[in-house]
Amino acid sequence: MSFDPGSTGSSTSPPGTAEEYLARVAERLQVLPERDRGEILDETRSHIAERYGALPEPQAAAAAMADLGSPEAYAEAFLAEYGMTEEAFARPSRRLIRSAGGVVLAILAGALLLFGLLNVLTPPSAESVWFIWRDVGLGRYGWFLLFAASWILAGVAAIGAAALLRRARVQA
Amino acid sequence: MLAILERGEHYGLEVLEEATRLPEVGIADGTVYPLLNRLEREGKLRSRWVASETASHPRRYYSLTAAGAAALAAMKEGWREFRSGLDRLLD
Repeated sequence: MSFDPGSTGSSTSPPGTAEEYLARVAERLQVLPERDRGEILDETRSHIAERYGALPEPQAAAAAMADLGSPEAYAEAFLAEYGMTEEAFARPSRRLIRSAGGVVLAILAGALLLFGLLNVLTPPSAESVWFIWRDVGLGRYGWFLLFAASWILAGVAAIGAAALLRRARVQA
Repeated sequence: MLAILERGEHYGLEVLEEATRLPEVGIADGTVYPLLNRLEREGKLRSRWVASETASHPRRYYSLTAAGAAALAAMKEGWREFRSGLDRLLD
């Protein structure tokens, strides 16, 4: 992900003070671990104080904006170095839907797999719930292969869920 | 960045000033700190906060680690090979 220090990110209004600049950087960096975020802000605060400390506000904030880029673009450069893209800014509702979708897929795949295993491992019986389904035409092993494919689905869902959990932990 | 820090411990603003002395490097102010941050997380740099007698805020000083020195040596070697190849091509 390339960084354009001149870009203005999602916010277009220039910060009125250096502290407002830092607050907007902090807001954008909320997805980072607290310790990392704190060190980035401390270092940026030190940089602004040393480089523009002689300037009155709002000139100090304007100078920081001109040199470092907008708070959003500056923060984005850190996120890019962390390998975080716009996914980090996906709305929580969208992430929740993705997580819920992954869980539903995993449950569905697990149920299908169990059904397939029962179909292969248990003797046919008129009383069996799954016995009727054998008449659909795939045959005993055809059904099993179909259900075994659900393992792949379950695996994909599990990997996706693990990635979402890992991202959620980083954001926490 | 690694080459600048090879000369000794520097804080971010010093690194930036060193880098901007070479306009052909073309480094922007806003890219220095993210790069230092990444290099430290990669283990190529270490940092420490030092209270300054002249500045109102403490400064974060960076220095090369052994891994950073090794990475710099490899980059230098790669650059020399590249330059040597171009020289042969042009001569």
